[in-house]
Amino acid sequence: MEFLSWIENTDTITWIRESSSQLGYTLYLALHTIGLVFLMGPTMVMAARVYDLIPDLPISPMIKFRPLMRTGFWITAVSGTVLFCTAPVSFVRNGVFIVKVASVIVGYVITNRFISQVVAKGPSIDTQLPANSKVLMGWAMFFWIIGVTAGRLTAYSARVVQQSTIAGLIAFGLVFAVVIAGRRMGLIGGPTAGYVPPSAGKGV
Amino acid sequence: MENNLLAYWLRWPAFEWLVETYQWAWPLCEIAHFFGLILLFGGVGTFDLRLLGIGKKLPPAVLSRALPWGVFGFVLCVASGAIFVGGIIGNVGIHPYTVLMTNVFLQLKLLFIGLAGLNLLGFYVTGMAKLTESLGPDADAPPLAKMFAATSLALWVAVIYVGRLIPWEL
Repeated sequence: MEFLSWIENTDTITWIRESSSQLGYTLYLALHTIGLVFLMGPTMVMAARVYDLIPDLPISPMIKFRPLMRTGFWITAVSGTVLFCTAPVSFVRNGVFIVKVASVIVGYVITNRFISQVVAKGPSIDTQLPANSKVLMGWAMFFWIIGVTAGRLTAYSARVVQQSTIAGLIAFGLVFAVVIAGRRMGLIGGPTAGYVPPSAGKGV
Repeated sequence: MENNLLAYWLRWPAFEWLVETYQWAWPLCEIAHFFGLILLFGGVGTFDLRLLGIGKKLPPAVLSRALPWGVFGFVLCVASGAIFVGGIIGNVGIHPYTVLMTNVFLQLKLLFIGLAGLNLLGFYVTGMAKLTESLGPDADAPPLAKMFAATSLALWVAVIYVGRLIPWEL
């Protein structure tokens, strides 16, 4: 704790926390979100392919987004570390924050594993994804949803966190129910009109 | 200052009641706003990046099917954002008209969203949307389409940036 207090009170961190400069706290806050969307955006597109919302999307070219996703992760990680240093003593005592960090790390590891085990296999898997892709992506999404949700709830009291978590679960459940119903009714998913996918193994 | 039609329209008693009565309403909207941003960037940002040459083997016609998810994300952001603005008096006790008139970052955010809308309109009006849909894998997007894509990306990143600064001006 002494070390964390020392970090919190260093000149640089004090300036970041208390300065009204655009290079202070708010810069890192904004970068934290920008990094997150660069990381999560392409992940969402891959999830849409895995769960047949865009069934004819060739997934192997998504490998080209990996450097961008990595950059997004590191922007989030570095800005997050700076934000953590502005109040480390209270953050390490905050259970929701611990859940957030743990979920983001696990989510990132699983997403990387998905990219290595599925996306990086090349065009041969574009028409027929490996059997484990749904499971891997499912776990990745699970941890990302917990991580992002916990990130938003870090500043609230335990009671508000409980209530918001229940409200969030209901909201997510409703969205998933609508998506599943939409798929069953043929309103969501299905092949792209007018697009003929190349045969498997020949690439796109 | 708050005695005009816009001030009247900006106050939403139902949103104020929701935010005041239920402590979970505001954080739930924050969660929805964030997932909206992620979906928006997933749908629109990934398509923009493809037009700019990343993942060129992705056929734009197929990738464009992620755009409705981006639109869904935008709707989530607008809905939760409307509750933030319309119900802000229930959270921090400031009239939304005052916030709109004095918060530079909110003004910038709305400006950038408007510009992103005009940019999207330009993408369709100039025929770039149809042209890019007909592009095959490995095909380069026309320079004008690339310009629209780069503008779109820059504007949405700017929207996120200034959006995060809004609470610091309250």
